[in-house]
Amino acid sequence: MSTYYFVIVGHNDNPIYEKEFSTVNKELRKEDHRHLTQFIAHAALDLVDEHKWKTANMQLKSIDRFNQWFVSAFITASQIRFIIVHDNKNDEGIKNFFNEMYDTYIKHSMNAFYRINTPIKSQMFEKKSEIFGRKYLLS
Amino acid sequence: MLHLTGQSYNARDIIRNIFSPLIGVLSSPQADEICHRNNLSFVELLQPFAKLPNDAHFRDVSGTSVSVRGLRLNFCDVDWRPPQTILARKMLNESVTNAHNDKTRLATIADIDLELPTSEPWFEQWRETFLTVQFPADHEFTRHLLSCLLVLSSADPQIVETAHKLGQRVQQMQSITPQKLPKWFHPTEVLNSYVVLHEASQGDLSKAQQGFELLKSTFGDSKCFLVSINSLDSQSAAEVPDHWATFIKRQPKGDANLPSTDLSAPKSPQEAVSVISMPAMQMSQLLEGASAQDSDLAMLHPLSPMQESATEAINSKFSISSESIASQTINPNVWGNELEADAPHGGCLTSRDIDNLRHFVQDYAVRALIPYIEHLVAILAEGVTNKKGVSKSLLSATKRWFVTSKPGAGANNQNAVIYTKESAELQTRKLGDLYFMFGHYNLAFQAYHQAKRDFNADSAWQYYAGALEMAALSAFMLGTAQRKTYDYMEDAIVCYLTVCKLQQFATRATLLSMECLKTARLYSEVAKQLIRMTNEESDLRSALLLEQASYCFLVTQPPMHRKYAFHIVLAGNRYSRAGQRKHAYRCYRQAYQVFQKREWSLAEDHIQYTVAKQAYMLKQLEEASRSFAHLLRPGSLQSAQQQTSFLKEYIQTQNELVKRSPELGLLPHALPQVVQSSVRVLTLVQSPSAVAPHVPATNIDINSNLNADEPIWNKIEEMLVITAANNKPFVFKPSRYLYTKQQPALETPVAVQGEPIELAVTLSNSVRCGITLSEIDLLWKLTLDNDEVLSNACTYEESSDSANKIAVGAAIKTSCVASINLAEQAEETLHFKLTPKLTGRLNVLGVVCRVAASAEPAASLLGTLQFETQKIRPHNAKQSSQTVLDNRLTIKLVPQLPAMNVSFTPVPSRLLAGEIVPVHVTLRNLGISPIEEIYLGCDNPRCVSLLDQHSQMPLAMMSSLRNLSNDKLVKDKEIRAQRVYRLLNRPGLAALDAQQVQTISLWVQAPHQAGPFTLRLLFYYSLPTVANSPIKYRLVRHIWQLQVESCLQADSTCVVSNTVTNELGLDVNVRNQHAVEGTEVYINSISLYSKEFKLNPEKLYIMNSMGVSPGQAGAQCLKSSICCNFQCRLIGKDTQEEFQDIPSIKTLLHSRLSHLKILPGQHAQQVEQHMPSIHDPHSFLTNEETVYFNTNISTEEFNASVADYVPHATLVLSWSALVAREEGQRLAYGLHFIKLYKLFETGHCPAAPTASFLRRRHSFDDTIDNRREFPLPEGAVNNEDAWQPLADADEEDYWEPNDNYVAQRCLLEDESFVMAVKA
Repeated sequence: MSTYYFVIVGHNDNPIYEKEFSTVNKELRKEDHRHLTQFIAHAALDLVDEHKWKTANMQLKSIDRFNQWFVSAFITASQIRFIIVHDNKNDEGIKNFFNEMYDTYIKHSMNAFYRINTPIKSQMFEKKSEIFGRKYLLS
Repeated sequence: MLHLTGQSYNARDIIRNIFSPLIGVLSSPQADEICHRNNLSFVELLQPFAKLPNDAHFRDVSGTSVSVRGLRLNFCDVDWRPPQTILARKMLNESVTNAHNDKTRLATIADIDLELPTSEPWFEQWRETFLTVQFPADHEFTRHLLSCLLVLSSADPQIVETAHKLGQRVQQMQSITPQKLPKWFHPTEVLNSYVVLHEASQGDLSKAQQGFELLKSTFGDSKCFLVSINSLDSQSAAEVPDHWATFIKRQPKGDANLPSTDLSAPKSPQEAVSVISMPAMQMSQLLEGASAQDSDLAMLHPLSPMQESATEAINSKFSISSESIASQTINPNVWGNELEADAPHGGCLTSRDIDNLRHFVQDYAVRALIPYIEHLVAILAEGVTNKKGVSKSLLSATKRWFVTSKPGAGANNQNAVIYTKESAELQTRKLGDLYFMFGHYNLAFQAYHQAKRDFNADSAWQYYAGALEMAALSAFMLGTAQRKTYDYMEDAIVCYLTVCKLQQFATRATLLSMECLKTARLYSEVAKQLIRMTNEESDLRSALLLEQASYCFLVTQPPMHRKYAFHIVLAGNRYSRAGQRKHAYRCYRQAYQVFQKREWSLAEDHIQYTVAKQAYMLKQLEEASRSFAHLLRPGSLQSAQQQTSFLKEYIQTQNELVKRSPELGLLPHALPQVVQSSVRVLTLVQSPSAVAPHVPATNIDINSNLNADEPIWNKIEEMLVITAANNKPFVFKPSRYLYTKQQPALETPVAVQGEPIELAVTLSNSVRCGITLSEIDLLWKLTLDNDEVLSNACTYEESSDSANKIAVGAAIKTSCVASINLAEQAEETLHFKLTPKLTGRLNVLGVVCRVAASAEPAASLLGTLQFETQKIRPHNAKQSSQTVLDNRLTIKLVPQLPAMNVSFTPVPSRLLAGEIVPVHVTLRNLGISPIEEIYLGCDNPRCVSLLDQHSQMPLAMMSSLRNLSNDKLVKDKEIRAQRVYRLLNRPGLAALDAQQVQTISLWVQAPHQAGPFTLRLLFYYSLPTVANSPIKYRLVRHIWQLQVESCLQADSTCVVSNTVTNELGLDVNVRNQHAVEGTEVYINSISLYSKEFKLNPEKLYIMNSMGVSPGQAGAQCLKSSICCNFQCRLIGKDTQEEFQDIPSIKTLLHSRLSHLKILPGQHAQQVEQHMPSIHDPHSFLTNEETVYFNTNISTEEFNASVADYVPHATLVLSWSALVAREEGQRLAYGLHFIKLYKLFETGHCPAAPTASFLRRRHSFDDTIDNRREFPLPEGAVNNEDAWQPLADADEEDYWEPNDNYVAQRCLLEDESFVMAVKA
C-alpha cells in the first residue's frame, strides 16, 4: 500500500510531467487525494528553492511533509525540479528513480523539437517512467 | 473588557491590555439609571477612559518607585460571567462573520500579483472574543478581580444604606468558599471603593456633597469618589463625540435587526442541516446538559479548565458548527442589555463631564488602587520569603533537588499537586502576576522563573506551563527576549497541548507567542506554531490560524508564496467547514492568484470548484458561473462523471443568474466551443430546386472544397464576362459566393433580399460527457438602410414588447435543425439558412441555443455561442504586420434581383465510353423583370453539343479547305468562341421574359477514355444595369461528375487490300469490352469523313463473325468480350472536292461523308433520332474535327496549330448498346471516331495507350506531302515509305503491340507479297 506522485516542475512553477504510481487498485483509491498531492508538491517548491543552494547534491532528500505525506525532491543543473509526494519511506528507491528519470529527461530535452518548460508528451518518456516507477518505487 | 481591535496596537500594547488589572463594578439601581440616560452602563461609560492619562508610580517591595506608563484598568461588572460553551462558540463565529475588510493591497512576489486584505479584522475580533470568553483559571491570577467599585447615586436619599447593602453583596461573593465566579485576587482583603454619581443637570450639588461627606465619614476618605456627569438634558443634542462606539459590542436585539448582507450564516435550519446533519436526539441531550449547567453556572463552567477536556469531548463528538447554535438566543441579562444597540451614546455628557470621568480613573488608580497593590505586594513578598525553604513534603523536596523532571515524562496526571491558597508556590505566582499587571516586568520575570522551577519540581504541569508562559512574556515586555525565552513559550504551548490537554490555553499562549515572535521577525516560527494549533476539533480556530500562518509565509525572507498558497487553501477549506462562506470564498480566491495559469490542473479545479460553490451560496452567481465555466474548459483532466456534475451545476447556476438579473440578457455558453475558423458563409446561390424528374443545377454547396475547382470556374466566368461585355475594357474579378477560412472575405459579402444565405459552423464538445443542443437559432443584428437597427436578441428578452418581436421575425427567417447531440469530445457541423426580407447590413453575431447534458435533458440553459471576427494575414505582404479583419459575417443585403433557375433532365451516373446523352436544359426566370442575355460556358466543349450553336465552321475544318496561316486570328477570341455559347439569342427580344420558361436541347458525349468524367457548365445572365449595384450579372453553376465505363473497343487500319488494283481497304476491329456480362453492343453503321475517299457500299467483308450471335434487339450483336472484324473498301471520289466559297458546315459534311450499314440492331432507327444526325453541324463529328485550344496556350502555339492541318480521314462508328444494370436494362448509343492518317497505321478508339503513334507520325510529317490523306497509293515507288515506319521502328529499337491478326500477318510477311509490292 504505497502511493507515489511524481511531478517534473518547470521554471515557471508549471508541471511539465505528472505521473502517479500506486500499488493500490485504481477503483479502491480515493480520487480525493489527487488535487491534494498537487497542492503539497506545489507548496514544497518553496522548500526546494530554500534547500537547493545549501547542498552540492542534486538529491535534496526528504524536504517537506504534510500529514502522512513526505516530499522528496531532486533538482537538475538547469533548475528543473523533480518532486515525489509519497506516503512511505523509500529513500534508496526514490534516489535511483530520480537518477534514472534525470537521464531520461536529459535525453528528451535534447530533442530539437522539444521546447523546455513545455509539457512532455512523449510515448517513450511515459514508458520509461512507467518502467522505472515499477522498478524502484513499487517493488 | 478587553480591547484589542480598532486601534493599531503594537504587540506590547496588546499584551498589556490582555493582562490589565481587573476591577469589579457593582452599581445601585439609581446609579444605573443615571448612566442609562447616556445609553450606557457604568462599565461602558468608563471604557474609553480606562487608560490612565498620566504615569502612575508604584513602589515595589524594596521601596523603589517604578513608574507605570499608560496603565489601563479593566472594569468589569461583577455579575458578568463568561458565556457557556455553545454560546461562546456562537459568539466566536459571529465575531468572524461580522468582520469584513474589503480593502486590499497589492503585493508582488515572484512576479505574481497577490491581492491581500489590508488587515484581518476577523482575526482580531475573534482573538478578542476568544480571550474575553475565557474562563478565569486557578493556576493564574491575572483574570481575577483585584478590587471592586460600588456605584451610587447622589440622588439616593439613603445613600449610606445602599452602600452598605452593596458592600454586603460584594462581601458575600468574596467570602464564599469554595470560590465561585467571579474570582477574587485576594478574597480576604478586597479593596471596595465607593463612587457617587452626581447628575449636574438634575440634582443639587450641595446635597450631593452632603451625602458624599456622609459616605466618606463611613468608609474612609480614600475609598470614596464623587463624579459629576450628565450636565445636559437628554433632549438636547449630543455635545461630545461618541467615544464609545468602538469600545462597545452589543448583540443586536432580535433577528429583525440582523443586517441582510449577513450571508454567511444560514437562514433556515434546512440549510444548516445540509452542511452538517445532526441527529435531533443528540442535539436535545446537549441542550439539556447546557440548561443544567445554566442553573449552576458558577459551579461548573464548561470552559473552565477542569471541564475543558469534557467539553472538548462533547464538541468533537458533535462537531458543532455555528449553524447548530444559530437558533439559540443569547442570554440578554448577561450579554445584551436593555440598552439600544444603535442609539448614540453619551447624549447627556459635556466635555467637562468627560474630563471628570478621566480624572476619576486617574484619581482612583493613584489614591486607592496603587496603595492597595503596594500593600498586597508587601504581604505576598513577605509570605514568599517566610515560607521559602519550607517544603511541603519530603517527597517534593527530594524531587526538587535530585530529579530534573520534564513535562510529559512519567505519570501523566496533570494535577499531581493541589496547592492551597497560602502555598508559597501560588504566592510567588500571584506576586509575579501583580508585578506583571503593574508593569514591573523585571521582578515579574524573577517571580515567574521561581514559580516555574517550583511547579516543575512538583510536576504541576498546568501551573508550570502558566508560569513558563508568563516568564516568556515578562522577558518580552522587558525587552530581554532571547532564544531561551522564546523556548519558554514554546515549552509552555507544548505542555498545555500535550500534557495538560488544554487546547484553550495552548491557543492563548500561541496567540501571545505570535505577537512576540512577530515583533522579533521570526515569521517561520510563528507559522510553525500556528499550524501546530490546527486540529480537527475546531474548524474556525484552525481556519483563522492557518490564514495567519499563510500570511507569515509571505513575509519570511525569502517569501514563500507557494507555502502561502497551500495554507490559504487549507484555511479556506476550514472556513467552509466552519460555515464561514465569505471567508472561505475569499481565501480560495486569494489562492487562485498563485495557481492560475500554472497548469496544476487538479489543484486549480479544486479551487475553482470551491470558489464556484461558495460564490453560489453567497449569491454571487456571476462569479460562480465563471468558475464553473472554467471547470468545463478544454483539456481538463477531470473524469466524465465529475464533468457531468460540473455541467449540471453550471447550468443550474447560469439559469439562476439569468433569472435573478434578466437585464444581462443572453449569456455566452461555456461549451460547446465554436471552431471559429470553421465558419462558412454562402450567399447569392439559389438553393437547388426542380420539378421531379428534372435535376437542379448543382451550384455551389456550402461544404464544397473550392481549392481545386475554383480557378477553372473563374476562367470560364472570365470568358463569359468578356464575351458578354463585347470587348468593353474592364478589370475582371471573379464573383465570390463562399467565404471560408481558405477563402477569406476581404470585402463585404453581398446577398440578395429574399434569397437564402447559408451558414455552416462546427461546434466541438470539449467535455467528457455528451451534450444536447436544442432551440438552435442564429443571433443577428440588421442595420437597415435608414440606420435603424434590428436584432433578434430581443426575442430572448422577456421585457421587450411583442411588436418588436414580430418586426424581428418578419425581417429575417432562419432555419436550422431543431436539435443536435454532441457526443463526448466530438465535433458537429450546424447548417443554417437565413432568408432576409429587408435590405441593409446584416451582422451575424453567434448561435443561440439551449444546452443540456445528454444524460439530463430537463435541465437546460439558454445562451449564446459567439462568433469571433477572424484575422486574415495577407498572402502577399508577409513582412507587413498589419492584419485585416475578415468580413464574412457582415453581409450586405441588396434589393431583389432577377433570378434564373436552371434544371436538367437526368443523366445516368455511369455512362459508356463515347455514349451520347440528350439533355434538356430548362431555364426559368424567377424574377419579375426580363433577363436580357444568357450565356453558357463550358470547360470541356468537346463533350457538349448544343442545337443551333455551330454557325461558324471550326478552324480545323476550315484549315482543311484553305491555308489559314495568313489569316488574322485573335487567340483569346477563338478560345472563347469555342467555349462560350449564347443561349436563346432572339434578336430584339429578351432572352427570357419574366416568369418565362425555356428549354434547350443539349447533348453530352462521354469521353472515350474510361474513368471519372467531370463536366462543368456555367450559366451567365445579365442583370438590369443599376448604378452602384454591387452585382452586375449572376451565375449558375452545374457540374456533372460521372463515371465512364469502357464498352466498345474499336480500331481500324487502312491497308492496301488489292495489290493489283491498289484498292485500299479499311480493316475494322470491334470488341465489346463492357465488364457486365449481359451487355449487348450493336454496330449500326459506319461512316467515313474523308476528303478524297468514300466507302464502297458494295463491298463489306466480314472477316470474323464467330462470336456474333443473336441478341435481344437484333440478329447480330456483340456480347460481352466478343470481337468482330470486317473490312470495307474505299473508293476514291470521282470529283475533286471544290467549293467556290467557304461552304456551310452542313454542305461540307454532306460532301465528305459516306455511310455503310454494318450490323444494325432493331432500334437503329430510333437511336438515330435521339442523336444529332451526323450530317448536322451540331453533331459530335464536328466536335471531333475541331481542334480545341488549351486556354493557356501561347500565341505561337496557337498560330502553329491553326496553320497546321494534318490530312486524315475519320471513321465514325455508330453503335448502340443494351446495358444490363442492377436497376434494369438501359439503351445506350454513341459514336466512336477513329482518325486515320497513314496507310498501315492503326487508329484506335479509345486511343491506344501509348503515344507512340503520334510520335512516329510527327517525325514524318515534314518529309511527306501533307496535303493528302493516304499518300501511298499514288505510286508504287512510294510504297517503300509505307512499310518504312515499321522498319524504322525496329531501328529505333522499340516495340509496339502487334494487333494484326494472323491472316493479315501472313499477308504482310509473305515475301512474295513484299516483292510484288516492290515490283
